[in-house]
Amino acid sequence: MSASRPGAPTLRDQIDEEAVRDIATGAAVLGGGGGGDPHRGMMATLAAVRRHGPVPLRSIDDFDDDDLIATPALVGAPMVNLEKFPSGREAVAGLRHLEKISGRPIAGVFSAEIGGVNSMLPIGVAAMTGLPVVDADGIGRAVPEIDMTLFTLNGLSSTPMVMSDDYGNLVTVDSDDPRRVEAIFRPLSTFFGGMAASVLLPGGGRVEVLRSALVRGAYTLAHRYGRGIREAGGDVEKVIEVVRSVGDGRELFRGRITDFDHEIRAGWSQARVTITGTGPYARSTMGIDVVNENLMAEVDGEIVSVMPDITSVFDARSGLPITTEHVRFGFPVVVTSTPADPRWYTPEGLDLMGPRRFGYSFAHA
Amino acid sequence: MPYRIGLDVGGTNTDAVLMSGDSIVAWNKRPTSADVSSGIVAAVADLLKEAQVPAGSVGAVMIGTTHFTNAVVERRRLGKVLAVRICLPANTAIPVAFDWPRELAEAMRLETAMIHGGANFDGKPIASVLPDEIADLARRVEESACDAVALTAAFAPVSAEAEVAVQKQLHSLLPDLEISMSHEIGRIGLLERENATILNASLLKLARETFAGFVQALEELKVTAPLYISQNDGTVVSAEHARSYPIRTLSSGPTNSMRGAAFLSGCDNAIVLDVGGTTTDAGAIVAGFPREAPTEHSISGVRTNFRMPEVASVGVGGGSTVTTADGVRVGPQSVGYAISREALVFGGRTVTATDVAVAAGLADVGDRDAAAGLDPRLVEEAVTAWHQVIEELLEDTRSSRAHVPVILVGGGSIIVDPERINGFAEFVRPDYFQVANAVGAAIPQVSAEIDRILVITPETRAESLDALRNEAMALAVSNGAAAATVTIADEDILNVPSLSDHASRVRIRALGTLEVHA
Repeated sequence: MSASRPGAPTLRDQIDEEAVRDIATGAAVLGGGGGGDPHRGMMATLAAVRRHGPVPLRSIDDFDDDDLIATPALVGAPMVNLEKFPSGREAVAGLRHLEKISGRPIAGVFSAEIGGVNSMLPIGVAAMTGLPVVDADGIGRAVPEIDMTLFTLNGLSSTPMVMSDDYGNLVTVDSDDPRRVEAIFRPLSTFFGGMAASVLLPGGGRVEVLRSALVRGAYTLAHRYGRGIREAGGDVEKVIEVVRSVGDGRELFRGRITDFDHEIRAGWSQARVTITGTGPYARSTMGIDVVNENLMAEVDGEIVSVMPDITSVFDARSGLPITTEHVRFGFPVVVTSTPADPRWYTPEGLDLMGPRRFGYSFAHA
Repeated sequence: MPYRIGLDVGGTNTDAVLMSGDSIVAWNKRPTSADVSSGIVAAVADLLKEAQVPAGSVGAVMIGTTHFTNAVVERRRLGKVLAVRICLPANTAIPVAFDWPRELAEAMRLETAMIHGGANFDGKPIASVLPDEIADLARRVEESACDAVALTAAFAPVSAEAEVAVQKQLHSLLPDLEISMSHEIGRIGLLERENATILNASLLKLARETFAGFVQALEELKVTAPLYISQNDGTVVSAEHARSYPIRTLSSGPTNSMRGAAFLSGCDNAIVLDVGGTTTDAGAIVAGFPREAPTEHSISGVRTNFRMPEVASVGVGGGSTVTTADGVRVGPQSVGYAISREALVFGGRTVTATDVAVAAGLADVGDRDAAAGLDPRLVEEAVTAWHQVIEELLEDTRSSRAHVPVILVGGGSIIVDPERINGFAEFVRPDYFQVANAVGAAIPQVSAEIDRILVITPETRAESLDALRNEAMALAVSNGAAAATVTIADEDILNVPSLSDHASRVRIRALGTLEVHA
């Protein structure tokens, strides 16, 4: 992903500091409002890449069926990350422990969730270990619940999983039920100081098993969004063009945020955002339902984007994607919708991540 | 009623008011002198002379200054800092000052270190503080001749223990060392609080010298009243106290003008439009205080999180030059304070926004005939252009859909015609609009804030919150408030259920009136 090849496909290349920044921007687009503020993760990853050098990026096709690939992720309360963030060694220790359990070396790391902050940790771990990043993730966007992955859709468990803290303590979790996994690691992450580094081998981690349960090219996709947005230099029309050409997305609405009801219920950030139209949308109003991610957007009562579609909000002044925690009254914004991975639109996919899963009474059109 | 003097020492002008209670007794405005003190002496002497008030009748002097902002922006006179993060074995993934602009880090010859200690979210220590590591720090301070040390411990807003322990041990080795501690500077958010603490530490030396200069200026005038410095949040602290926290004064200029506008107009909820010579600032007033900037904001390229007003600016003001080379353009170039000799209506040769406003009949200053020859089409286009820019600025500043008045202040505000701005029905231009910032500096209020993450069980909730409120109120008193006047101004309790069952983040702010004696 070096800057010397603008416009070239970025696969089989490497992730340098500029690419880290671009991927973080693209991950915020794919986060659809959720996935967390990528700033801390981006800073830590930039520091690792500055210290250890650029990280190789490989296609899943470059690996053998028997190779093991793992996914490092942070679990716990995002607020803790504001004060106490990992050294990076925890995740490496977790990775080494998984190698011990499996009796084999791990050949690469991928992202569990490309949308948001969990796009960053794999790059940092790759920098520290010399492993390549696998150009793939397990969802293709950000999701509010841990079982909404292509692993679940393919009947794979998300374990074995190792959680580790900065004192070198390790806990291994092994379960076939993703909901049980969450029930186990939540209290553990509190014990670990509110936040813990985890490394997972979903479905055991063999490439042959995971190949069909991953979104290929997820890093390349995030990078193309981020680079396009950087090159747009704040020009919103160019940003819309990037969304169209990179993600086959479309502009939904433009306006100013005129209402923002926000509450945290049962650990989820829930909100209803109201946007009053400007320019060609001057007579219309958009409402967005948010549960960590933007779930549904409607214009004057008509639904224009709903899960699993990726609904992204951009600051109309900077052209940058904004996550839910940074939504503020008066912000001029542009809203776009982009289709998620096609597997999410199958009957099974919609069962797992369609509108009904979030309590809506309608199906995805 | 004892008299108060309010001074706003800006980059361009020094504004001064003499107040008694809520009345303005005298005011003046003059260019800021190269040596700040002589300007203050002249301004205060003029005030006292005009009002025939003896120096002994002044009960308080309040100064707002952009001195420290300018030091950071211009990267001058910054002290050498050793920045210490108390965090090991955690928090090593992001180095101290990792994303700073290189010139700023170099200007303060920044050195960094990480040592063991700090807390978890529940206040339990991450690790013990190690005396050997502190002895090493003391050696580094001496060897590289550091002016100050900035201490930032993980979760210091929850438990300040580690920072205080390190400070004490450093002081036992180096008694005169200046030390800034992050729990006194910023909020939750380690990197941003650390950055703010480092900036604060680098300004300590300049603060000491600057405030000594202020005191000397007042002594020269035989004014013996205590000196207060206005802070970013619109309240004042004693100069003695402010000396240790210069960063809290970093944005007092716009704050003072907003607070002054609210006071002069009697509007507690409004948008303030402050039109100067070169730029126009807009900010929202909510319940009498400036709306705060989002938690993280950037100071000269550094992410920080201390209290700051949210201010938006555009490059249009009364002194903006109007050019026609490439269509009609207003600003961002400006004749600034030289408007009194450069503008057409003041006998000069530069076409300024003020000249155009006079030609359009919006304002009546100087020699009206001197602007009469301006092309009517240029006049109409220029007036339309700056009103569009200002309307957009006001839209960006609106803090709710509710109707709020717009308060016009600042010397340049004569170029604004409310009739030409859509979407805002009510405009107020209060008396003394020219010196709203000095009036804002003279408002005698003091505050204190606490910001913690803690576990509050339903059984002890009322008790815990009361204890925190009392703590905030006691802090306000120690900052100079008269105890009887202190109330809780606002509180914000946010559940953090993903952390543990009853974890909450609590922010409480207490406010009181400064007691002023003659």
